[in-house]
Amino acid sequence: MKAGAWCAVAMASVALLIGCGGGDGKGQDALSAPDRSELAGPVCTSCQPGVVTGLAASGAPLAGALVRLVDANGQQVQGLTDAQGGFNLPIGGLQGPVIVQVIGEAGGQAMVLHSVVRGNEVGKRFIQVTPLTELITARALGGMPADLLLQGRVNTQRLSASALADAERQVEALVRPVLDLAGVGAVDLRLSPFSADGTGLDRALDLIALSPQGQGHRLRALWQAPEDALSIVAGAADPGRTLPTANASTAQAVASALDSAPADIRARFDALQALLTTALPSDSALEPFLSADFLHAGLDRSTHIQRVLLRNDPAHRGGYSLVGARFDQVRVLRVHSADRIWVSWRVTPRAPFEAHDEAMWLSREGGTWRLQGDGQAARLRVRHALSLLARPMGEAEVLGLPGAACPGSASNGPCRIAGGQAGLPLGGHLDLGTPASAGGDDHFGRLALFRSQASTAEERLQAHIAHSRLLATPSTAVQAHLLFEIDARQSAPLARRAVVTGPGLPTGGVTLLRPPTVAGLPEFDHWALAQASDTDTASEDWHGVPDGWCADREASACATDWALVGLGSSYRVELFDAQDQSLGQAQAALPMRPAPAGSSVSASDARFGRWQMSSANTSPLTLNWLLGSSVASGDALFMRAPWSPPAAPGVRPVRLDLAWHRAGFPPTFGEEVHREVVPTSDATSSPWDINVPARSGWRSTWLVLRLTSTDRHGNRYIHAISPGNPH
Amino acid sequence: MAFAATIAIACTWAACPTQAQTQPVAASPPLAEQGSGETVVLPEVTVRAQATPSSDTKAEAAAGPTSTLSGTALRARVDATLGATLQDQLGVANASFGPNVGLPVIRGQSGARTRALLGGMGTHDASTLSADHSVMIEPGLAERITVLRGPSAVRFGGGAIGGAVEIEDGRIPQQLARQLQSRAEVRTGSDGHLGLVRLSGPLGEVPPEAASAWTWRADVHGRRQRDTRIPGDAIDEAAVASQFGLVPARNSHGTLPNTDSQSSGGAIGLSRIGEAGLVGLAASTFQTDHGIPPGAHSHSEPVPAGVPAVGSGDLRIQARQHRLSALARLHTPWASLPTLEVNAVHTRYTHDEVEGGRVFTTFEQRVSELRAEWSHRLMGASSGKLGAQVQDRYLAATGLEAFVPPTDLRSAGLFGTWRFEAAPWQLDLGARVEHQQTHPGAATLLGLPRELPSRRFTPSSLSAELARHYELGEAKGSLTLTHWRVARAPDIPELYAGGPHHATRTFDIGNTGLDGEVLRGWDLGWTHQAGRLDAKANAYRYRSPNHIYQRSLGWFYESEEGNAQAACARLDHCLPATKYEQAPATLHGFEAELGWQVLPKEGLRAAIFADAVRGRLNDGADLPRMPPRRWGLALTGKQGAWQGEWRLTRAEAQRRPGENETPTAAYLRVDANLRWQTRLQDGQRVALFAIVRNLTDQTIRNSTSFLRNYAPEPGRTLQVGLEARL
Repeated sequence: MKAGAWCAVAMASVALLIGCGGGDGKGQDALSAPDRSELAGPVCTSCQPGVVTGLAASGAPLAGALVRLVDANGQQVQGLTDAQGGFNLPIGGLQGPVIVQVIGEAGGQAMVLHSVVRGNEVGKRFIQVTPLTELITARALGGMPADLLLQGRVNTQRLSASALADAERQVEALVRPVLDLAGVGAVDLRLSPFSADGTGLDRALDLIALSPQGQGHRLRALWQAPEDALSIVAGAADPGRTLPTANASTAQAVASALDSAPADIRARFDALQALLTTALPSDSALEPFLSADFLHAGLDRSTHIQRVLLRNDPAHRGGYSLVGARFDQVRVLRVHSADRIWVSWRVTPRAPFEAHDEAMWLSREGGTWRLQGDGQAARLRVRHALSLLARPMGEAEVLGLPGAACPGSASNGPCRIAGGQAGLPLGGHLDLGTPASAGGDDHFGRLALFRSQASTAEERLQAHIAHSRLLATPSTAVQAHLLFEIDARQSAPLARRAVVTGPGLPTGGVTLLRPPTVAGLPEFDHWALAQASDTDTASEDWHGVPDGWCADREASACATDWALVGLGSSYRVELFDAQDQSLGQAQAALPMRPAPAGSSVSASDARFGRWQMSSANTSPLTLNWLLGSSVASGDALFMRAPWSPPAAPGVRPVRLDLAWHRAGFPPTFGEEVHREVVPTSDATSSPWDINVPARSGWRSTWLVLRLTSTDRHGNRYIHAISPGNPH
Repeated sequence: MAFAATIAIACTWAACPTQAQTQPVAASPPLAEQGSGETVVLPEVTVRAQATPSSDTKAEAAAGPTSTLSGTALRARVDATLGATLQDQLGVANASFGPNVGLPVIRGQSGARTRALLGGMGTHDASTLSADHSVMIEPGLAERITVLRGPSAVRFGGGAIGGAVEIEDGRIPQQLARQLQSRAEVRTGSDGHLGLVRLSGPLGEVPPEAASAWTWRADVHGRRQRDTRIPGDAIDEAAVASQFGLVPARNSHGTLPNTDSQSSGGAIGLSRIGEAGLVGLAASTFQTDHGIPPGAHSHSEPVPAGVPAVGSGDLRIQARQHRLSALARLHTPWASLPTLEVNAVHTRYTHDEVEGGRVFTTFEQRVSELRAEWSHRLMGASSGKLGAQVQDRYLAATGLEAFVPPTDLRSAGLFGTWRFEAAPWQLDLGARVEHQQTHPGAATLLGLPRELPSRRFTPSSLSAELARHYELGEAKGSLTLTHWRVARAPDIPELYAGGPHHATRTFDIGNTGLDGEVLRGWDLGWTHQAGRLDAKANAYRYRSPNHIYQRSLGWFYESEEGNAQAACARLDHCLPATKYEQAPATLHGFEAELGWQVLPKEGLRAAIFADAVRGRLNDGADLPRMPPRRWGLALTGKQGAWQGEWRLTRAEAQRRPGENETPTAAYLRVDANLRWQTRLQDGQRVALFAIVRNLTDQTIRNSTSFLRNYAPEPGRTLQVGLEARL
C-alpha cells in the first residue's frame, strides 16, 4: 500500500474518531461534599464522632422519650432521651440525611416531633428536636414527617442542605415575633444548642403551640385563640405570614403567665396532692380547688368532685382512685389574660394505674388559682389500636369442610353439616352460619355450633359442648381500629347518645351509647359503639371502628376511609339526651398511628402483650372446658391466665380485662356479663388468677380476655382471646 | 511557502535567528550590518532548520494567535519564572505564587488548560496540579519561547485547550557543530544571581565533506534568589479580613520572608546529524529549593489560643526532575511525506514540601510520552503533519497534603494538520482525537473512604484558520480568522482531588462525574504595516458549555482538627472548600499593539499596547483570578552597540475577582533594560546588560495570583549581567 493510502486511512480514522468523541458516560460523583448550610450553626463541642447529639424539647424537655433515627432506606437506630431531653445516639450504619423522630411527652402533652441531621453534621452539630424543627422538617419534606415515615415515603433527596436552610429561614420568619419577644436574635432553629431552662430559644418554645392537623400543622402564639392559629400546609410556601406581635399588655400577661403562674399552680396542685395522700378527702375540702362556675367534660363542680376526684372503683373493677396521685408537668398552653390561662398537667395515679394528661382553664380568683374546666360536654380521646384476634376461616374453606352444605345454594346460607357426617351424631347438625356473600352472620367462619335435637336441655347442652368447635385460628389476625373513648364518667350526665364525626368516618358519623350502669357504676369505662340491637345503652364494651366498617350494612357510602386519617386528625363528638337534644360537644385529635400500617402488622409483633394460655398447666381455655363439666361442677370461674408483657421497647401493658358471659340454665332470656379489670404495668406480669363465684342456676356461655398495652402515643395493642378449639 | 523547505543562512554564530518575532527572519539584515560596523570574515556555516507550520510559520506569516519571543528580547525578559518571563507578552499574565513560582496565564486560562512544553513535549512537572508548583525549567536557558494562544490542543493534546507555551532549549543538538561553541551568562542584582554555561561541539574531528557527524551539547546553570524586597506590607490585611473575617496577627514590611530560592541543573545531549536526518538524546536534571511566603501554605503551627496567625513561614518546596529526551528525524524519499519525526521523553519528578525540617508531603510523578509526526503534502496541502501521541503518567502524593490519590493516566491521540495556500489566501486545518483513561487508587474525604471510579474520555478537537494577505500600495498586512473547537479530558485533581491544598489555601474536592470540557473559540487577527506604522490586533471570544471550575462551597476545612466548619476560627488553619464543577462560561478579550518607527535609522520604535480579558460563568459569576485590563507604552531603540527598552504598563483594578475572592488595585509599572553588545575580533560576542523592573517601586498585587493578599509582586529590582557567546 502506498504511503498516501496509509495516510488517507489514518485521516479517515481521525475523522471517524472525532465524530465519535465523548466519554465513558459515567457521570456519578463519588466525592460528594457538604454545603455550607450543612455546617451552619455553632460547632458542637460536646459531640463525638459518629454520634448524633441533641435535645428534644417543647417548652419543657421531652424526658425519657423514644428517639428514632431513620435513614432513607428505613434503617433505624433507637434510644431514649435523658431527664433533660438530651440524647446521644450512635449513627451506626445509617446513610445520608437522617430523620430524627422523638416520641414523648412534654408538659403532660403527648407529642411526636421530628428533625433532620445530615451526614456531615453527625458528631459536629447539635441537633434540636422541637416544634420548630417539626415545621422545618415538614416544610423540607413536603409532607407530615410522621405520616411519611409510616408510609415509607420519606424522600431524603429533598433534604439538601439548601432546602433545609430555606425551610429554616421560612420558619424563622414565621415565628420571628415570638423569637423577638423571647429575646432571641440570630439563631439556627435546627442547630443552635440550647437548654430547656426557660430562657432564650426555650422561652420562645414556651410561647408557641403547635399541633398537627391533616396535611399540616396549626401554629399559634400563646396569646392566640386556637381558631386564630395559622394553618400551615406542609411543604407549602407561606410568604409574609408570621405569628402576631404581642402588644405591651399582652406581653405583660404572657410574662406573668409564664414566670409566676406555673409556680403558683404547682403549689395548688401540691396542696391537692397532699389532701389525697392517704385517703379521699371530703367534698368540702376539694371545693376550694374548683371555681364555682366549673364545667369540665359535662360535669359541674360537685359532680366532677364526686365522679372524678373522689372516684373510688371497687377492687374487681380495678380499684382506681386518686389516692396517692401526683400532679405535675404543669404547662401553660394559652394565655387569655393574666388571670385566666389554659394549663395542661399530668395526673399520675398510684401504680399501676396509667398516667394521663389533663388540660383546662384556670382562673385566678382573689390571688388563688382555681380549676375552671374546659367547658366541653365530655372527655373524648381518640386513639389508634391494633387488635390481635382470631382469624376466621375463609368462606371456601368452611364450605369445603366434609359434609358442609348450604341449603339452596352456597351463597344462600345458613350452611351446616348434617348429623351423621363428619363424626357428628345423628339428631342434630353443626351450624356453620351464613357466609358473608349471603349477608353473613357474626359466627360464620368463627364458630361452628352443634344444634342438637335431643329431647332434654341437658342432653342438648352436652351435645353442644361436645361437638361445637371454633373454626377461627386464635391470635393470628391483626386488625386496626380507631378507638373513640368517651369517658363514661366524664360526660354530660343526661347524655345518652353521642355522634363522632371527623376524617375518614361515614358522613353520619359513628354513634356511641352510654354504657349501662350496674350498682351505680358504668359497666364499661367508655361509651360503646352502638350495635344494631342496642336502644339507649350499649351492650358491648367496644368503641373501636375498623377500616371499612359500616354501622348499617345496607347504607351506601358508610364505610370508613382510613386514607383520610392522619396525625392530628380532629374528631368532634356531639352528645344528645334522650330527647335527642344536643348537650354540647367535645373535640380530640388523633395521635400518631402505629407503624407499619395495620394490615401489614405481623401477628408476632412484639408490641402485643400476650396471653400465654397454651403454656398454662391448668385450665386450658377451650370450649368444652368453658361450657363443660369443670364449670358445671361449681358454676364458678376459676382459672389462671398467664400473660407476658410486650417485648417491644416503649410499649407497656396497662390493663387486663375479663368479660365472662353466663346465662340461666335451662336457657331463658337474658345473659349477664361479669367483668373484671386489673390495671397493670411491666412490674406485674404474674399470672392473673381469676376467681368468680358461682351464680346458682347459671352456666358459662362465653368468655373474652383482653390484654391491653400502650405505646408512648397512647396507641393501644390489644390481645383478645376467647375459648379455643376443644379438639 | 516561506519556511517549508530547508533554509540556509550564513551566520557568524551558530544560534540563529536571534530576532524578536516582530522582525521576520526573512527580513533579517545582512549579518555584516548587524554588528557595530565591523566586517569579519568567518567560515561559512550551513544551518539546517526545520520549520514547524504551527509555530514559526504561522506566527510570522499571518496574524494568528501565536507569538514568539527570542533573541535579545527574550534575554531582556528572562526572569526567575516562566510566568514572569512572559508577563509582558500580550494576552499573557503571570500567576505568581511568591517570586519563585510563576505560571503563564494565557488569555485568562491556566492550570490544566495550558501546557508548558519543552522541545515540543510536556515539561511533566507538577505545575498544572497546584499553583505553588513551578515549571521545571530555567528560563535563562530558553532559546525561543512560543506562546500558542489558540488551538494548541490540536497538536499538543493533553488538555492544552487554553494555549501552550513552547520552550526550545536546544538540548538535543539539531544542528551540526563543526567546532566548539559556547554561551555563558552571569547576572546579578538586588534579587539574586544567575549563572549558566552552555557548550556544544562535534564529537571528534568533522571533515568539511562529512555527510553526518556527532554533535554534543552540555549545559549547567545555577540560580540563587534572596528574600524578595517589596515596597510595603506583605499582607493586605484589609483584604484578608474581608475574605476570612480575621485579621492576621503577623505581617512583614519591606521583604517577603522565606522567599529565597536556589536552583541548579544541567544537561548533556548527543545527536547524530546527517543528510538523512538525525537521532539525538539528552539527559537533564533540575532541582529547585524555594520557600513559600508566610500565610500562603502552612501545615500547622501552635499559636496561642485566640490569636489568628499567618503561618509558620518556613515551608520549603524541594523539587527534583530528571528528564530523558530522544528525537529521531528521518527525511524520506517520498515527496508527499518528506519527514518523519519521533519525540520521546521520560521524566521523573519528585517534590517534597518541607516545614521545620520535616517532609510533610511528597509528590511523585513519572511520565513517558511519545509523539510521532509525519510531515505531509497530501490532498493538495502545501504542508502538514499527521501524528500520533501516547502518554503514560503516574501521579502520587503522600503525606499531609495528599489531596490527590495515586492515579494512573494513560492517553493516546491521533492528529493531523493541513495547510492549503492559494495566494493571497492561506488555510490551516487541524484535527485531533484523543483517548484518556484514569485509574485512581484508594481515597478518603473528610475521614470517609471513597470509592473512586476509573474514567475514560475521548475528547476531539478541530481547528481552522483562514488568512488573507493583502497589499495596499506600500501597506501590507493580513487578516486571519481562526475558529477552533477543542476539548480536553478533566485532569487528575479535577476528577479526584479530595483534601487540603495548602498551596492555594483551599480544600479541594474533585468531581468524578465531570464530563470532558469543550471550548469553542473565535479569533480575529490583523497585522498591518504601512511605512513607519505597524499594527497588530487580535480579538477573541471563547465559549465553553461545560467549563470546569472550582466552586466555592462557602465553608472551611480546619486543618488542625481535620474537619469541615462553617466559620473560620483561626486563619492559619482555615482552608476554604472548593468543589470542581462545570458550568457554561464565556471569555472574551483582545490584544492590540500599534507601533511607530520614530527614528527608523536609529531603530527607535514607540508602541502602545493593550490587552484585556473578561471571563464569566453564564450565571453571571465572574471567573476567578482573571488578569486585569492593561495598556501601556513601550519604547525600544537600538543605536550601534546599544539597545534598550523602556516600558510602562498600566494595569487597571480587577474589580471582578470572582466569588469569595478579593479585588486588586490598579498599578503603574515601569520596566527598562539596556544592552550593550559587541563582537570580538574572532567573532565572539559579548554583551553587557542592565535590567530594572518595577522602577517606581509600586505595590503590585497580581489578580491572577492565589497569594495576592499575602505576597505582592517584587519591588524595584535591578539586575546587571554579562553574556558571552564564544
